[in-house]
Amino acid sequence: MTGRMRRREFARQLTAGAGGLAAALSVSQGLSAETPPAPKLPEEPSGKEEPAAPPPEVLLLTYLVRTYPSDKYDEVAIQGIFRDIRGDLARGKLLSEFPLKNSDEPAFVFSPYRGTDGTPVEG
Amino acid sequence: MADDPFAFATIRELGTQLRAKSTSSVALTKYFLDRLEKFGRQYNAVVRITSELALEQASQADLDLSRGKDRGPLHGIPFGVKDLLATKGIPTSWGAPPLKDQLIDEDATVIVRLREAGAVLCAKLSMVELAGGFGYKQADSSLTGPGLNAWDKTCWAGGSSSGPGSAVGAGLVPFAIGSETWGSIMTPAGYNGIAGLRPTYGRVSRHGAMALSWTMDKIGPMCRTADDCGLVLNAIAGPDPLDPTSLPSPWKYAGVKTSPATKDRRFKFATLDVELEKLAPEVRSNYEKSLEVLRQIGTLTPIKLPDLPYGVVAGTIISCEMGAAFGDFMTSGEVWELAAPEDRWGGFSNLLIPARDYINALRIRGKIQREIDAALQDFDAVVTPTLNTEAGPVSQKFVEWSRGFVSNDLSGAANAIGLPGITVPNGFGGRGLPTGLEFTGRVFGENVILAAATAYQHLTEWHKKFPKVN
Repeated sequence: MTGRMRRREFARQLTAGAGGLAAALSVSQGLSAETPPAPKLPEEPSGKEEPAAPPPEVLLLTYLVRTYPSDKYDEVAIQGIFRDIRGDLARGKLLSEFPLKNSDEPAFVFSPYRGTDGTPVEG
Repeated sequence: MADDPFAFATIRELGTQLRAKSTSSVALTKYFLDRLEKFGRQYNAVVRITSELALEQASQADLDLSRGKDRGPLHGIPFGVKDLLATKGIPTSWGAPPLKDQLIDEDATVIVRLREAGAVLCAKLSMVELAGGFGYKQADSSLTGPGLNAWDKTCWAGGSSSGPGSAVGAGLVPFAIGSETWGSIMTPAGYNGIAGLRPTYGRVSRHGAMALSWTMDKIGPMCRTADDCGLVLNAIAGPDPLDPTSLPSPWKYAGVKTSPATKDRRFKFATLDVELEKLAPEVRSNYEKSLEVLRQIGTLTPIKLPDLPYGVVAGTIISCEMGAAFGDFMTSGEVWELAAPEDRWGGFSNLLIPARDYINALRIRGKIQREIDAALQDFDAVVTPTLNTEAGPVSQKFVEWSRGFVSNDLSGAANAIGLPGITVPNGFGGRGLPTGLEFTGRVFGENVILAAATAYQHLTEWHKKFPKVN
C-alpha cells in the first residue's frame, strides 16, 4: 500500500461502499497477470464523466470485504485476495469454455436415503 | 535393518521379534516414546505424545499375545497419526493455532481399526495447518512450526503430512497415518525418503478426519517400505457406514501373509512425457536409473495423458469444498489466528466461486475419469518422479526452490479422480536429501502398485539408507 492510503483506510473504504468501490476500481487500471498495482486514492468526482462499469473482480472484492468486514485486511491480504479472485474467475472461464453436453452429469455421489425404522416400504 | 535394532526396522521385522519373544510391545513402545520425546520436537514433528494410552495399549497387546490372541501384522506395533484424525479424549488440532485444544468426542474410524488391529498409538503428529487448504507458500505454516526434514533439519519435511513424513523418516515411529487431498502424502514421503501410499478414494473411511474436500480427501499409510504400506492399508481399509463415500467392498492386501512374490511377475509400466527441464539434474538422473531397474521386471511404454484441464478441475473442487467446510471459520475471524500470514486470507476468495463453476468441474471430472481409465487400461502403473527436486530450505519460499513440485499433470488428475499411488525412495539429490519414484495405478489398483513398488524395492537398497538422528 502506498503512503497515499493507509491499509485500514483502504479496507474501510472498500467496506464503506461507494468511495471504496471507486478506490477498488482504480485497482483495476492496468491490471497485470501476477501483481495488481497498489490501489490509488480515488480522484474527486468531476461530475462530468460517466463512471466506467467496475470489472467483476473489483465488484467481488468489494462484495467480499463488505460482507465479511474485518480490520485485519491489510495491503498484502487485499492484494492476495484480489489475485485469488482473478484466478478463480480465470478458472471459471476455462471451465465454462470446456465443451459439455446436457447429458454430461456431475461426478458426485448421491443416493436416496431411508432410515431402517422397520416400516414396510410401499410401492 | 540398521545398527539400531528397532528405529528403522520394518513392521514385519518388528513383528518377527515380537513373536519370537525377543522383545515385547511394551519395550518397543517405551523405545519409540523415548525417541519421540528426544527427537520429535527437534523436527517439529510432534503435536502430542500419548504415552499413557500407548503403554496401556502395549500392555494389552503383550497380554493378548501371551494368551495366543494375535491380531495380525500390526499387533503391538507403535505408530503415530497426523493430527487431523479425531482421538477421543486427546485434542486434535488440525495443525492450526486457533484449534490447538480442540476436543472431538469420538475416535476416527482409522483410529478404531488400528486399535482393533493391535497397533499402539504413540503420538499425534504435526501437519501443515488445515491440511494446507489455505494456500501456504512456505514451510512455517503450522501450530508446531515448520516441519523439518529427517535428513537435514534446515530443510522442509514436506506437507501437509509433515510430522508423519519426518517421524517415520527419522525412525521415531515404525509407521504413521497421513492424508492427501492433493500431494499431502506423496510430498512428505518423497522428501523424507519413505514409502507413502495414497489409496483409491473411498478405500479408507474419512470418518473422524478433518474435511478439506469431501470428494478428494484420502487417508493412507506412510511407512518404511511399500510392503509395510500394504500391511497398514489392510488394517484400515474397508466399508464404513459412518462414511457414505467409503467403497462398499472389503479390501485385502495380496501380500498380507508374505511379501508379494514378485520374482516372476512382469509389469506393464507407462511413462509420461514429463517436463524434464523442470527436474533437478539428480532427480532426472535418479528417475532414468529407476527406469533401468524397472526394465528388469516389466515393460515401459511412453504415453500421453488426454488433454483435459486436470489442475483447473482439482483446484476448483478443493476451493469450493473448503470454502463451504471452512466458511464459518473464516467469517468468524478465527482464520486470522493461523500461523502463516498467507493462510489468514488465502481462503476468502473461495467464498465467492459460483456454483456453476463447481458443478462444471464435477461434470468435467466425469470425463476425466473415463478418459484416464481408458488411457491406463493396458498398464499396471504409470511411473513418474515423485517431485521435481529434493526438499528445499525452510528459510525460503517454495517458489524459490520447488520448481513447481511436480512435472506432469498426473498428480492433479489422480487426485481429482481418486487414483491410488505410491512413492518409494529412489536415490539422493545434490544436497544429500532423498528423491522418490511414484507409481500411479488405476482405480482399485492398490495391490498392483504395491507389488510393483515392492518389486522395485527388492532390486534396490534406497529404503535401507537412513539419516543420522541425534
